[in-house]
Amino acid sequence: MTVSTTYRTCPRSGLQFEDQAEKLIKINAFTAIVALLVGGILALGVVLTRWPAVHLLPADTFYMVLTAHGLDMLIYWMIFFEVAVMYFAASTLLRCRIATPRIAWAAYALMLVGAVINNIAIFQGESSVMMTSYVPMMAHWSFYLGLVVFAVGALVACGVFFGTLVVAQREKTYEGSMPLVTFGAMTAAIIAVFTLLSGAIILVPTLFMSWGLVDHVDPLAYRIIWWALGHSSQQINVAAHISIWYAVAAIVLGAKPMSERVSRGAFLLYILFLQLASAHHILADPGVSTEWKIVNTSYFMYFAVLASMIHALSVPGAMEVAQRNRGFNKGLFEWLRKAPWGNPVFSSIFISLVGFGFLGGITGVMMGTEQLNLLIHNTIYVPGHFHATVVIGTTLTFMGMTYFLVPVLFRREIINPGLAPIQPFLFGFAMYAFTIVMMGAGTLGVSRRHWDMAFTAMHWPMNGRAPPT
Amino acid sequence: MMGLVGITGVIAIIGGALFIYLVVGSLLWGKKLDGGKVSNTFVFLNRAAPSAPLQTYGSAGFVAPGTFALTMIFLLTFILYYFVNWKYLGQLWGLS
Repeated sequence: MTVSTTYRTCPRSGLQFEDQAEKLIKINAFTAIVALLVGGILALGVVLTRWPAVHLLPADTFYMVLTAHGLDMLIYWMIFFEVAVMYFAASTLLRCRIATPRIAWAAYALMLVGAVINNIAIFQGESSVMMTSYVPMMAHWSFYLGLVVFAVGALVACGVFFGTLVVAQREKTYEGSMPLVTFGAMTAAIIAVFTLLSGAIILVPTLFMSWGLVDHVDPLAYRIIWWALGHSSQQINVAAHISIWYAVAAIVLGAKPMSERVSRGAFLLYILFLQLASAHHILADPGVSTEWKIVNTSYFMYFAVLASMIHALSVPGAMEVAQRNRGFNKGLFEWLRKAPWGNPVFSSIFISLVGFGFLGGITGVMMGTEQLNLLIHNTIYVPGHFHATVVIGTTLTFMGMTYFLVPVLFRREIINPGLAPIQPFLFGFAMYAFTIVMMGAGTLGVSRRHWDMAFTAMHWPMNGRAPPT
Repeated sequence: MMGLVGITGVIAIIGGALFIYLVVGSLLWGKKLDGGKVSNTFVFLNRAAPSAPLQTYGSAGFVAPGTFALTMIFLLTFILYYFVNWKYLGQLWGLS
């Protein structure tokens, strides 16, 4: 089938952008950055309130801000950016027109409308239920509606991605197997379908409950199914950001994976086992059996950990091989010392890779062990861990990719060339320290989420109401 | 410890704000760059194009001793941290 469109060949990267795909990648990436801005402003409110010497916000505002921070960062910033990555991996890397661009625009509109409805619901103050929104604690119905509309839009975007893969194969725009980066993005998309459907399965009945159409949603069933959305959304991120690690290794250093088959096998392990790690959130739940917890969080989760360790070896290994081919052969680490640290695309990715493995990966396995989980369950250790995976791992990687996309996709030179190389180091190392002290505080027993960790205000009336007696 | 969480958190947020400034600032005020050639069809990949490694596939042998050393450091850290936490648990939770 011939479709009228145009392809732009970027003189800086050699990549070819199909007209509609280019616009869709731009709008999704830009919306993601707006969500990051909102989430970042909210982060200031969270940090300055949990800092005991400052304790900035009153309790009700704090919980509202924390709810919005979680959703804007983990859901909206990440998934808008991932849709941009999916379109890039399918259309640009396969030199293919995007399938059904009108439907892709409709998907974007649904995602945007859903995100806005959800944010409005939170900022109206009746939906400070945290990102987890456990029933029977109810938010305003528009909170759930926004999430469901967003999820439908994101599912449609995944469909457009899969459709584009089919178009590329039919129109023979590439030879042999699809590139590894596209394969990784496909992994992310498959996990996204599982994740978003899980979200729909539990949030739709909860929406009906908020309308009074359903009188009961089982809290334990909610927790189990919700975590198939909550934790798996980070698994989309992991598959996407590891794809970007491989992409940046190729872009900046011309690196090729050390063993393509092994890397692809590791992505397949993610599809099969990574979501099961969600079970570690309910390790302290009395309603599920010990056997279920142990099978999901040890035997099955270790396959996902194995996959991550394969990538952790494969990506820097590919960079090392490429650097050694350029002549940086002295000793064990000349390849690393002479890496392009002044290029924020590279430095973001490498700082992300090391922090994700050492701070996010190791602590994730520790807290995923049933017995050890008791040490830190519901403490600030948990957000310490997931800021190492979500922020150091995914956000920093997406920042690095953005530095690549600004000149290549948006056709703009980065301003302040002296500042850009510093930013990944400032942000990355501050996040290293932030997550370490959070986990330290959690090990000492500081509760997560809590406005007043010392419970000094427990005898005060809250929101004009007396505490329960 | 929570004071340190506050201080490091604020520094990280400054780092994040710097990113937003650089990206949004570049989109608004960055020098416009040449968009390149536009055609009605895609062009088959030139194997010498800068994007070639990204858009093709292939394998290299295991010749990365530095990465192997880093991986060993990682595994050692992993083992130590894991057992330190079992030690914490052992101190808190007596078996008898």
